Amino acid sequence: MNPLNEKEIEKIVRLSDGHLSPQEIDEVQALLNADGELAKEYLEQEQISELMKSVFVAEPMPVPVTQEVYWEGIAQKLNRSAAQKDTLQNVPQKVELWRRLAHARRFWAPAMAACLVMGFLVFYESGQHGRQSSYGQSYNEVETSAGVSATTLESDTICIEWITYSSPLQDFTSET
Amino acid sequence: MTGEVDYTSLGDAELIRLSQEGDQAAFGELVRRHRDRVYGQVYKMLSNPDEALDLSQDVWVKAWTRLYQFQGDSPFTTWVTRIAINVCLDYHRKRQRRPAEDSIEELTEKSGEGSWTPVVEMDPQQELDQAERKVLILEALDQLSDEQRTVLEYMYVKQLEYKEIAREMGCSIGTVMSRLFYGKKALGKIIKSILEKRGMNIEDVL
Repeated sequence: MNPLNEKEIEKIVRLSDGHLSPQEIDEVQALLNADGELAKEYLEQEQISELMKSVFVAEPMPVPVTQEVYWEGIAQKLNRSAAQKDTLQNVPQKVELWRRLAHARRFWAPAMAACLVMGFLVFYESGQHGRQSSYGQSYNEVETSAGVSATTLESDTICIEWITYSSPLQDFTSET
Repeated sequence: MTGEVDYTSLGDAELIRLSQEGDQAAFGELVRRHRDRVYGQVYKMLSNPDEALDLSQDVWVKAWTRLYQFQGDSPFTTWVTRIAINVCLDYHRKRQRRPAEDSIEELTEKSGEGSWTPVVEMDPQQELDQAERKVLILEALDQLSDEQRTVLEYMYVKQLEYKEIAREMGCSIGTVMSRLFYGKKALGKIIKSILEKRGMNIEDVL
């Protein structure tokens, strides 16, 4: 027997797998009827195809539970899978937040040191100029020029500023 | 439009479109229509009614989450059957990786506790024949070259189309045909020799 050409191989394979149109089937059948060796090849191919299909290709089989029970199972699995997806989506975010905080820890010590220095400076400055009034409010007195000083008294509700001149005749108070 | 939608009157294409928009009731109708085919495929690959029921539900869960990928290039049944095949193959792979746990599961199954009683059971003789055929084919497939085994697995186990096999194997459809032809020829020879040793011929297992 002459070796089969590509076209013949293709036709035999397609026929044995049921992938030919009715017209093509007739054409191949005519070829097989005319060539006994080709027909033998086809028979072998068809047997193996049948065997493979019988093992791997399935026919529909009734599900042993009702549609309601079956669907309920699917719905539960869907909910579980959605919940897992949510959890999985949240985990990286939490990790990300923790990483950011961990990263920020590198700056905690310098930031705290800066705060302490600032606090000390503010305290030192207020110690230089800040005083306590007889009513307990704090006030600042700044000498702006020779014989003239500006004083600010602050409480929760009012802020009073006045300027004091060394001459008693020019002493006056302005309220804002 | 008022009133409830009668999903049973809709075609698959419309149900798929609605499902892709998030309509679970439409998806439920698709499940009702195709569940027997999916269950049949899973049962065929697992030969265990309890596992088949559970895994066939997993198939639908996977189908729902991947429905946006369905383009309508192939019929919905083919698409969902492929998912079923892949789910089963994954399951087999996982089972092979953890045999200890499975042996415990199998013992539990054998004790009969908590297992389903299938409404439709295969005839025991038929089931035995089927199991024997499967062992015979797997034994024969193992003796093929990688190329021939792969093309036959794509064709009959994964049930891909010729063009899909060509894409997977990076060759032309003509080459796929040729590999299928010579692969089946080689498989036939091996099967015949195995059967001859048992005093049988191929017609006995068909």
